[in-house]
Amino acid sequence: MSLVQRLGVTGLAVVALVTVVVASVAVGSVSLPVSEVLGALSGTRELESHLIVTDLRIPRTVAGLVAGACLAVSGVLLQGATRNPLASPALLGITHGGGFAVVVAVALLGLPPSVAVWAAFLGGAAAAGVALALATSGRDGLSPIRLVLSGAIVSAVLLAWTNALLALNEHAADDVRHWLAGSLAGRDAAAVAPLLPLVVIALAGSWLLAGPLDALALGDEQAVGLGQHPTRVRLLAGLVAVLLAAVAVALAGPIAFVGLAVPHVARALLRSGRHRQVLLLSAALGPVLLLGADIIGRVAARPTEVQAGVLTALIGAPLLVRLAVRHKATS
Amino acid sequence: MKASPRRAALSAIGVIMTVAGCSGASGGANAPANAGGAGERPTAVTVEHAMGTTDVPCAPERVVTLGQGQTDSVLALGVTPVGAVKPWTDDWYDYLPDEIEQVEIIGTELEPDLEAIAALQPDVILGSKLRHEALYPQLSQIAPTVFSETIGVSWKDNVSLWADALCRQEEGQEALDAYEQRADEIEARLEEAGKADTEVSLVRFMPDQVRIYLTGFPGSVLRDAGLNRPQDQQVDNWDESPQLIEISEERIPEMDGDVILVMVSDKWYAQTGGHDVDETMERWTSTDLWQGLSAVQAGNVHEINESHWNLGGGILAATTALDSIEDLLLP
Amino acid sequence: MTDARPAPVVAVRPVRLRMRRPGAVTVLAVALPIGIFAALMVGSSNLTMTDALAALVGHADGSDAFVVRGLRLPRVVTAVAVGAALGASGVLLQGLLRNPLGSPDVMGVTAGASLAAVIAIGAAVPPLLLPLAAATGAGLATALLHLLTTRAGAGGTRIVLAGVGIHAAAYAAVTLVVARLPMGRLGAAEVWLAGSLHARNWTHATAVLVGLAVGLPAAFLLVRRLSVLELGDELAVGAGVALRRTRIQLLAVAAVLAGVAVAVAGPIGFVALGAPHIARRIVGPTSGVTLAAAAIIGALLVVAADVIGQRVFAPIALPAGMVTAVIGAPYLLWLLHRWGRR
Repeated sequence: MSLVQRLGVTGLAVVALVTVVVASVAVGSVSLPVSEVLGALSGTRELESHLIVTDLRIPRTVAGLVAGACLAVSGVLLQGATRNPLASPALLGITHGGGFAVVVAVALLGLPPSVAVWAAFLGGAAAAGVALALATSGRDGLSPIRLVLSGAIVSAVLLAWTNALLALNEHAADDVRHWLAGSLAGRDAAAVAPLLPLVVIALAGSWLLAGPLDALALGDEQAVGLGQHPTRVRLLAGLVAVLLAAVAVALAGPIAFVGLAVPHVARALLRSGRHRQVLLLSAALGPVLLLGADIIGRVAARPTEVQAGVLTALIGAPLLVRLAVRHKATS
Repeated sequence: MKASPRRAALSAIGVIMTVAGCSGASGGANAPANAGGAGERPTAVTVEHAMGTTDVPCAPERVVTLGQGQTDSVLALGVTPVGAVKPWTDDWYDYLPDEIEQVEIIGTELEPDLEAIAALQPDVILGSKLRHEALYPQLSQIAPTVFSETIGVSWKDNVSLWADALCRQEEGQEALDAYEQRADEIEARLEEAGKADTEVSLVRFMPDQVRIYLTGFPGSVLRDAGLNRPQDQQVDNWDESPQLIEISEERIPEMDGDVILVMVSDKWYAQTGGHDVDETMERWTSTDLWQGLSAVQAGNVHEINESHWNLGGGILAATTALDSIEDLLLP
Repeated sequence: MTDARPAPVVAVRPVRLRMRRPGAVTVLAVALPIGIFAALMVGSSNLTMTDALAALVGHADGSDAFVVRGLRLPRVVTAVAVGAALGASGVLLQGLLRNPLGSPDVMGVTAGASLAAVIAIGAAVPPLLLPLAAATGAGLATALLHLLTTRAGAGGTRIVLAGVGIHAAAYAAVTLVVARLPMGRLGAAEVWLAGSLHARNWTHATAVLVGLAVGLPAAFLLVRRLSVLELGDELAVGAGVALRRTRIQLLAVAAVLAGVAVAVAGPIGFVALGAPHIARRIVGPTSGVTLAAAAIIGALLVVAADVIGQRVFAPIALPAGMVTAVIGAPYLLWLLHRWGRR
């Protein structure tokens, strides 16, 4: 792919990103005319529209940007490290592991919400560990299918546990349902700031890992020949990926399929698997998908909202099916 | 907005009293032989209800209630149930009479324990089609079973129905008359105090959602007291309209009114779902959107007890809710 | 991964009836009636063995007889049939997918049934029609699975992936529907989604028994071809197995079995995944005997889960589906891991 084409793709991604960000500020469960939104951005704090835009829509847009980018990059790293096109935070159980750990830590043990991200990290890492152990236990070692099934089973277990915890804690059905899916609603801009250093470090780490992952893509022997330590690279990439997924869980709850879908879209657009380019494009497209889902969720069921996680699954799951059917799968 | 046409409708839920004479035609093998004591009372009545018609011994002594509203209203009719389903909270609601402590708990409203009910050898079982339709055949095998169509919004019709099933029509009418009288009295006093036009907003904070109640049980109490509702909370068709709407933060302005009554879900709700109701309330009420509401600025936000206003769902709860209107608006 | 790769855990060994522990099936066959009888004794009031027996055969006073024959017996019969159907369905799916981790819980069959059920609950259909809706949902999900992967070979990777995708999409749709349910219907949806045997009556028992009567013999007819199929497509074709037709038949029978089970009891997880493993562990690789053993083990698991759920946290009753998930699933993961290592 020529430089010009690559620039074209990048340009399109940037345009898409800007569009969803603008839409995310302009659209919500209350319809505000564009003029009012524009006025709100510079206006006085007395206006209702101003408060809606600055206090509600901008924070959740920021949260969506960060969470979307984290999930997408996490997916790229996982797919590279496992050389498995189906690896992603949700399919490996990381998302649900993180979500379960947050429920335990914050709701059950009463820890402050600030520890949520670390709980999500530990839970996510543990879930991924279990899924990997389960997947490698067969005679034929780690295969993509076993990994997906292991992750699906681990996710199912964790989801069941989360539900059981809620049920044992008594009651009313109608209060727990929202936790089944991730959402950007009511995100506090203040929640994003403390996580930013973490995000920056993890993204920088991903950038540094891009080269070694390219080497890994050629096969372990080639990678060793190129001076890489495959195991070390995998471990590091896995840790960074789990960290990124944990940030996303802490920000938005369990959101599925962004991490799976976006890297595939990026690779298809670039017609290349070079990790550095894929990482960049994914970091831009992740927020496009997540914020896009969030925006649809805000208007699809007015006056209430549908959680973004539900919509990413509805959009992403068919993509998984398509990947399964189209690719002479996954070998 | 007055309930007089509705009172006429109360009797529309028909009860055909058939004097079963001296024959023991009813299914209640344990029918109390108190016909002599009660003088003119028949030994059985035929009650028409949501599942058809059922013969109930007159007057049943061992009553099992399968819902919060049933328990409440049966107590109001002077009968202490032998068994009742668990309240939604950990303890019985504070407004219920002391007799409630003698009642055996027989499972939950969603899944009552059939064996425990059978062990109590009840004379009559009171439930609702909404919750217990699937259980009707088995319950009927245990004892004559009477179901209301639904719960909550139809609570006055249900009081009449329970009165019929318990052979206590007079007590039922007295209880409803007393309630209407109390409501009329409060309406008159509100008028005197020049508060007849007060627009009352009714909201409920839960750990992971926030609702505005339009109709339903709490809405009916406000309506009976002759209170108005804000524009956004008025409904055209009382019976058809949704009982409540779930809102997102952007729609906080719709919560405004002259007075805002706030139901805060009990502490146990706070344990569910990784969210904490205090956290939710803190988040919503700290926004400038909330702070800007006219009721907030005027200091007219009152917390009301949700076991009185929503969970109890019977005539005792409704009367207690009327009392709190008096306390809050007529100091 | 190619479709020709041999199955990881199952098969590879010669396909003939080979029992590792000859007495195992006998033990299982004895364990089932004992389990059923124990379940009849236990409840919110416990009966002695003689009382339970008397109530069962009709020599007891009204109350015990009603509790045992009117309440416990239909519930236990439903549990047994549901468990047997799930166990058998798991054997078929794992064989078809040539993957020991396949099961209706993660392949979209259960999720399809759940979606149909919550939609039906939202539309306020009479509770008696709920099983019908759920079974339809299971059937549609399976048909979709087949259509999407029809060009693939008989087994393998594509079906698994498509199944996981259908599961995820259906599950997301469940969340969406539940969030839109009117308030009064939420309780019913949550109760159904938990997978419970609470208050199951003879209508439920009959429904699942009919499904079992259709599905189980068909499963026994298919199991021979299944054990050939597990050797790989090429060998199977060589042995005269029509791949496409066999695949459709296997999917259909597995869907009927899982469908009726989920229809009457809701999504009780991990039984279809676990029972076949335990069965293979006891009686050896896939065969008619394994199928029978998996059905019996599935039945025992569901009956046990139901009793545990009723008694352990009394007076709070846990649905059987939650017990299998909370207690059964971790144990199962551990077993899968350990066995795989050998």
